[in-house]
Amino acid sequence: MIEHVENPVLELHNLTVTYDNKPAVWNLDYTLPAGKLIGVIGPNGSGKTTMMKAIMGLIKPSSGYIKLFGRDLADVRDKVAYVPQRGSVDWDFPVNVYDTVTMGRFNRKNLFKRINNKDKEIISDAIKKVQLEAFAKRQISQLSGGQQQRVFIARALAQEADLYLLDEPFAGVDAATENAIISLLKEMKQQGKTIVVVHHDLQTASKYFDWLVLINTRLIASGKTEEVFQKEILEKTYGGRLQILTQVAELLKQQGYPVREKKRPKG
Amino acid sequence: MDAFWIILTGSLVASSCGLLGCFLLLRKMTMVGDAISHAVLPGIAIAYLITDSRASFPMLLGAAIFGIITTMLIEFFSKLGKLQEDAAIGVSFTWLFSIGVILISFFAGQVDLDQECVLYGEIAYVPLQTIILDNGIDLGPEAVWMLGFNLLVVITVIVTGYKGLLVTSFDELLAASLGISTVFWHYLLMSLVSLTTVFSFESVGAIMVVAFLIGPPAIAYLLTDRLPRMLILSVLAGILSAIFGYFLAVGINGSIAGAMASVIGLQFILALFFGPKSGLNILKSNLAKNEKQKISA
Repeated sequence: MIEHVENPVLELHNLTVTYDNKPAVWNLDYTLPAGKLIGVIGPNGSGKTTMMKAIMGLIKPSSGYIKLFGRDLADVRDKVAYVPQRGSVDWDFPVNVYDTVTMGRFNRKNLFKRINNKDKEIISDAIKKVQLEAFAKRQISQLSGGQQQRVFIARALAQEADLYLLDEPFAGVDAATENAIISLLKEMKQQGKTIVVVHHDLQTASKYFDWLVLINTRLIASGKTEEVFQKEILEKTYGGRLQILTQVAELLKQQGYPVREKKRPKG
Repeated sequence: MDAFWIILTGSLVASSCGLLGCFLLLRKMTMVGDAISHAVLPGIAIAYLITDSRASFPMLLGAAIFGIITTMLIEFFSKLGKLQEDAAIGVSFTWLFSIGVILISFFAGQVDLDQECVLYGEIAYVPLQTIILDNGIDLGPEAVWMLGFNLLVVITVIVTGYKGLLVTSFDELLAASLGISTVFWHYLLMSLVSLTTVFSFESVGAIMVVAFLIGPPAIAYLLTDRLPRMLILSVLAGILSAIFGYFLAVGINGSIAGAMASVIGLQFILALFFGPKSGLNILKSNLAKNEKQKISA
C-alpha cells in the first residue's frame, strides 16, 4: 500500500543503495506530505539509517534519485536539518552544550565568519526549547542519554529548517525525555514543519505518527497511519520474526488502549 | 644566547605540533600524524636529489605531496582492502619511509642527508646556522625563522578555519549534511602536519615531531573540557617541555631532544594522576560516593 501525494516535501524515486554489491535499500519509491509527523519503521538492518543518509547525500545511491521540496539537496540544504544517531559522535569531545548547538548555525557561507547576535539568539532559543538552559555550560559527556539527545535536537532546531530528519531519537532515552521530545516534535508540526523520524518501537509508532513508511530493504507501505498500521502490512515488514509477530497481534488486540512499556535498549 | 635559540626552536616546534595535534587527537588520528612525519622522507630525499638544497620550496612540495599520499594510501588500504586502520597506517608509513631510506642510501655519495638526521635531528646545532645579512647584521638561526613562519601559517589556518575544523572533527555527518566538505578539512590538516614535519625535521627530527604532536595535546585533553583552552594548554605544555627539557639535558649532559620528550612524558603522568578529569581525583570522588552510600545504607 503506497499512497502518493501532490507537491511532496520528500520524494524518493526508485532509490537503491548497495554496500559491497548487497542492497541495503532496494527500489524505494514514495512521496511524503508536508506538515506531518512521519515515522520510518522497520526491523533492524532494514536500511532505515542508510535511507536517511542517502537522503542527506552522505551515501551515494546506486540508482534512483531524491528530491526535496521538488529540488536537489544542494539547492535546499538550508531547509533541511539532519539529526544523526546519538552514537555517531564522541561525547567526550571538549565542547559544552552551547558549543554543540552553535554548530547548527554553521554553513558553507558563514564558515569563516564569526557567530553574530542573531545566531546567538537562535541558539539560546533552541536550548530553551529543549529545556537545557541550566546545562548550557556543561560538557556534553556530563549529560544523561536523554539530555544528549535533546542537545542534538536543539542543534537541529538552530538550523531553522522546514524538514527535519531524525535517526532513532528515542534510542536509549528515558520515558520522560521521550514524552518531552515527542511533544516538541508535535509543536514543530503545528508550525508547519515536516518531521521524519526513524523509530523502532512498534508499541508507540501508531500513537506518535500521522504517517508511516514501513521498510524492510524494500518499501512495504507508505501512507496515513490509520491505513497502513495493519496486521498484514506489519507482518510483511517484520517477516517471520515470531516474537515481534506476537507483539503485533497483542498490539492490535489492545488497539485503542494506550500502551506503555519500558523502552528496550537500542539494537 | 645559544640556550635561548635552542629553547625558542623547541618552543616553536612544540607550538605548531601542539595546535595541530589537538585536532589529530580529537579525530582519533594521532597515529596518522606519526605516519606522516615518517612517510615524508622519500619526498624530502627526492626534492633534495633534484634541487641539492635543504628546506627549499621543492622540498616542502615533495614532503607535502608524500604527506597527502600517505593519507590516501591509509584510506585506500583500510577502505578498499578492508584492512583495520591501524594496520593500514603501519603498512603505509613503514613502506614509504623505507623507500626514503633506500633513496638516501643509494645516492649516499650525492646527498648530504641521512635517515638518522631525519629521525633525530640535532637541535644543539641550530644556533650555528644563522642568517647573516650583507651588511653583517646577524638575524639569528635560520631554523627559528623557518619554524616561526610555519607557526604563523598554522595559527592563521586554525584561527580562520576554527569553525570548519571544529565541526568536521566533532560530527562529520552533521558537517557533510550542512554542505561543509569533510575531505577538504581533512587534507588541509594533513598538509599542515606534513609542512610542520618538513620545517621541523632538520632541527628536531621526526621522532620529536611525533612526541610534540601527541604528548602536549594528550596532556591538555586531561586538563580541560573546552577546545579553545585545550589548544592553549597544549601549546603551554609543549613550551614547558622545551624549557625544562633543555635544562635537564644541560644538567645531565644528555640529548636535548630526548630530554624534551621525557619532560612531556613526565607532565603527562602528572596530568593523568592529578588532573581534574582523571586518576586520583576520580578515585577520590568514587571513594567519597561509596562512603556516602555506606552512611545512607
